[in-house]
Amino acid sequence: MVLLDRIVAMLITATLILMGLTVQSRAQKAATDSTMLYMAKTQTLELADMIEHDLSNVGYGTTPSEDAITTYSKQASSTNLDTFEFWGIRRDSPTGTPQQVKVRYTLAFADSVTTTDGPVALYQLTRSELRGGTWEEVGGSAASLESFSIDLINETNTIVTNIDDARRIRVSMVNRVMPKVVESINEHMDGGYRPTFYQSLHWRMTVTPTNIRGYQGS
Amino acid sequence: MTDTMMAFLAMMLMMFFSLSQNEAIVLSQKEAASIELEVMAHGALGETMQYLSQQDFDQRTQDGTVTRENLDLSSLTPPEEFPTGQRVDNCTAIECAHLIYPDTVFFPVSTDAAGNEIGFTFVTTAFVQYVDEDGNPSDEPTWTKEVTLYIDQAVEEGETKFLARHVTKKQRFSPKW
Repeated sequence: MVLLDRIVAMLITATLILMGLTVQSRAQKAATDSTMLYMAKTQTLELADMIEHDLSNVGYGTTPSEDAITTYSKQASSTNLDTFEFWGIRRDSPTGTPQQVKVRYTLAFADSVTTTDGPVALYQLTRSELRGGTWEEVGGSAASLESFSIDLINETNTIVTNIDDARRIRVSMVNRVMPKVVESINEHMDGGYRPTFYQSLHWRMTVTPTNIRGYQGS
Repeated sequence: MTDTMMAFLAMMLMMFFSLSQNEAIVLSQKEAASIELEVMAHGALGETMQYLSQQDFDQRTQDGTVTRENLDLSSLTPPEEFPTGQRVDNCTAIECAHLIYPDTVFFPVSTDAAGNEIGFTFVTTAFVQYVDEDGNPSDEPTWTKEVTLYIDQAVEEGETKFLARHVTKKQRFSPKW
């Protein structure tokens, strides 16, 4: 009888410990997700700040004979950006003298991940500056952009493809938040690996740089 | 009897532990939703600030009373005369944004099968004040105005509010000459 009591007690204890471990594991995962999402938010907003600063100063130092935007192309069969070049601003230090510099944004395919929603292509934005005749990488994004597009808009708020007609610039992006080591949280379904994305962070903005309103296309 | 009571006590403690941990998980998920909305709100806020940055510094600089050749600080609009309740679309000078009529901004996220845009609506308000060279608020006109934009999620009756806290953005403006 005593032995039976002891066995029952051990079973109850084991069950309670298992419950506790399961709940603790879920809570730990939620805390980890929360931290990763906060980091992704910070990263996305820093990228957004960089883009806003760049696009607000498109055409810096240009004269009436110069175009502020010099190159613009989209990827084939996609709304994603391919290349965007413009005259921008550079400072070597926060209090340094601002200088005109050619800036280039390029979006390149980085990885393809199969998820529960199907395959998702991820891209990386690279920001380069033309220094001494050579393009140098200065900033960019992580390789987690699901989409990044730049649209040129004319004075009637219509999207255009000819850079001569551009008066405003609209940029949109979706940053996917996912674990660095995807395999570690795969959900096994039907014997296959299906990585899970946590969240998508959407950001967009329309900028009206002063220097493209009068000079672009003139 | 004692053993039974101890077992019940253990199960009760485990229930409380499980409840508190699950509450923490729910809070984490709410925070995750709020973070998504925060990033969208930043974009919407940036667009509104961009619109304001295109406006003239002051009514007096717009109508030519104060110019680069006539730097009369006392002629700028005093803070107590800043208009309020204006619609942002009618703003032609920075001070018009002061306590503007709440403006709604729609942020599209995707489109449905019918091609209609799906997204979130935000509401913005603003506060404008003069600041001195050190960035401190000034009761007298100066050559720098500070605009503080506040944005929050616009929620209809019965809808769920995901944005846990409003987002703010500050920017300072000076005459464009």
